[in-house]
Amino acid sequence: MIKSSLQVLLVEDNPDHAVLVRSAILKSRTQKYEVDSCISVEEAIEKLKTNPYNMIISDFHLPGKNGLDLLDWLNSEKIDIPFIMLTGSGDEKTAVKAIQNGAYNYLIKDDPALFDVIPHAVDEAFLRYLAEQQKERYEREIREKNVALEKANRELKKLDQLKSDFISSVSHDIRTPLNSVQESIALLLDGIVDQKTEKGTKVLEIAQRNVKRLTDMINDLLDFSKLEAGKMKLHIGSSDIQILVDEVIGNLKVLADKKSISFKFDLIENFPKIDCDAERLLQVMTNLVGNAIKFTPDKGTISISLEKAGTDRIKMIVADTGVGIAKENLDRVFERFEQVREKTIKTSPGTGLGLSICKELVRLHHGEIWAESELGHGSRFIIQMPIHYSVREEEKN
Amino acid sequence: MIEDNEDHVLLIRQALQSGDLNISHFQDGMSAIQNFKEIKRGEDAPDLILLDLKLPGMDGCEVLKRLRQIRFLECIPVVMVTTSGRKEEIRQAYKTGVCGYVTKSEDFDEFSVKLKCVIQYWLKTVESAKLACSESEKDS
Amino acid sequence: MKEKTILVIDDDEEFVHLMELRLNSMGFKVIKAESGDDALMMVSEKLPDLVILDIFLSDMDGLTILKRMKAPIDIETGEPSATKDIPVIVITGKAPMVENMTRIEGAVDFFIKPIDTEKFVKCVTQILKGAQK
Repeated sequence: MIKSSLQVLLVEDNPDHAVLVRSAILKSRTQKYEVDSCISVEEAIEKLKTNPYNMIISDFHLPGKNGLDLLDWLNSEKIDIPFIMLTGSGDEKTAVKAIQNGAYNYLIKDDPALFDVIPHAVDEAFLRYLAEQQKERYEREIREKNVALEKANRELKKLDQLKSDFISSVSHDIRTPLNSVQESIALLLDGIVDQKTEKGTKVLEIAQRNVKRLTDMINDLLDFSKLEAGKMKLHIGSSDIQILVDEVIGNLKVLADKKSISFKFDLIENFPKIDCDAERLLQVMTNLVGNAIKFTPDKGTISISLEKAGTDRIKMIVADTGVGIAKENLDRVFERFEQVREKTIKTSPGTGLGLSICKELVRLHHGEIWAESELGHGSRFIIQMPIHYSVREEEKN
Repeated sequence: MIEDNEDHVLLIRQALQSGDLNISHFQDGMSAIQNFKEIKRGEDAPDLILLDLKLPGMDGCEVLKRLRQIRFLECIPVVMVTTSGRKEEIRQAYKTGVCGYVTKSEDFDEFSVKLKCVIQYWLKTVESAKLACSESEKDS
Repeated sequence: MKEKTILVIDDDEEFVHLMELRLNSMGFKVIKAESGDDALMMVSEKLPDLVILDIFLSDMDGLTILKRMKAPIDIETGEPSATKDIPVIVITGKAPMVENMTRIEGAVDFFIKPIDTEKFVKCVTQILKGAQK
């Protein structure tokens, strides 16, 4: 039971009755009570305004307002305290009204067993009150849990839909190059082309290109799932980024030449070496420059520039003279599975994961990546990252 | 429905008053295009587009072209609603790929019947083609 | 006997190249169009024996090309159409309404990329060799 004593307010104008009821209450063996008494509803209301009570026992017949009025007042003030009404026999109507208005119990004064009943009635009323409170708490908890569950459910459904969309788009994107490889091989095996001829070589090149596309796609998917699972580990070393840029340009030159796109990259003397995972940074740069080539029309220019940003960071900017990106899409391009569906530029199928992988890899380097662009005026992709990689920052994140 | 004239919108909604047609409305081509660009599943695409030849900004024929460039809308039936009914406009609309057209006429009942007929024709035809396709799949 | 001509309308160069080699080996001549306007011009000028049409083209939607080919009257000239009886095979990436609408407009068959070469070859053979009888 509750250790401290419970406060009972007794409203009874007959002093003898008051004394008897009080001593009856105090007879309770299950709970300690302290009884405060007053002689009118008005006095009771004053007391209730200033003191906390755990229970009210009130006579019906009182000077001025009566017990039912007190009950009304309690209801209108939304005071939730168990209330027991004392009535005389023949006053059944009052008793019923009291219960209807929320009293927990009524006791008949003329009952000879009254003073034996009182302590039990009081205990019982209080127990019932506690039970009601508990029930309300549980109901509230259940409601809150339901809301949380519904939210989680919605999230799961969204994720499930994302997964289905992903699977259907990827399965198509993977089957297309596979189909080209299959058909290329079939043409050779069926004797329709001879590998020793120019025709045959062209067909084999088609097969090779598509195998590369497939490999790139699968690598993207693997990187993506590693990143999603938080299992991507960086191997940090100190690298000269300018060498990496040179490598990227070298690797993509053939592709760029096909569209007569030229590169602009000026070497900077004494540019600091950066702490990074060279292989992953190369991957990011290749993706950015590769995109620039895709979305820049023939005879365009792609410029790569490096600069220091403050004392401890560097900036790398890949700028192109391509079609540009609409303002509302500048953030979206970095989202997973985002694919440009514009038909003005022919692009080969991809996973739509490239930029989101870049974003994650840059983030793992404690850097940021963002895009600046205007439709029709080219785009700039900017990476900013710290020169030194500190493990402590990792713990902060 | 892609229609900028409020009165016409009301007119068309009234003409098509029947419980089983779900009508979504756009004031101009761009907002319709932006909306449908985003859909990720075939089920989310409309079954038919009702298009006004004259729209603010991008004109009807251009809108039609662009809508058919959107994935899941590449073969959507498009019905044009015109006020003038000028032969040259209609010819241009057919060149661009309209499936049918209805001219707004003075008589509301006449307009309502024509519109319903054309729309129901295309919706039913697509439905029966769907059934024929799934039946032939059962055979093969 | 005159060699049969197939017009392939698709802007995916690699795909068309491989298909051309295959169709050539079957004894058919292949002519190509990469855009809608080109395509319509070539159909009415060259009158191929079969048209293979990709629905998803960059400048015009394949459905409109199909409609105009199959219309009883050429909308440009007002003359009766010379192209309406040319069989058309539609190819596309997966999309629900495409098959319905293209069959309604008169496409004779329908293939989803990536294409099952065996089925495709059978279909083309049936259409072109069958026409000889």
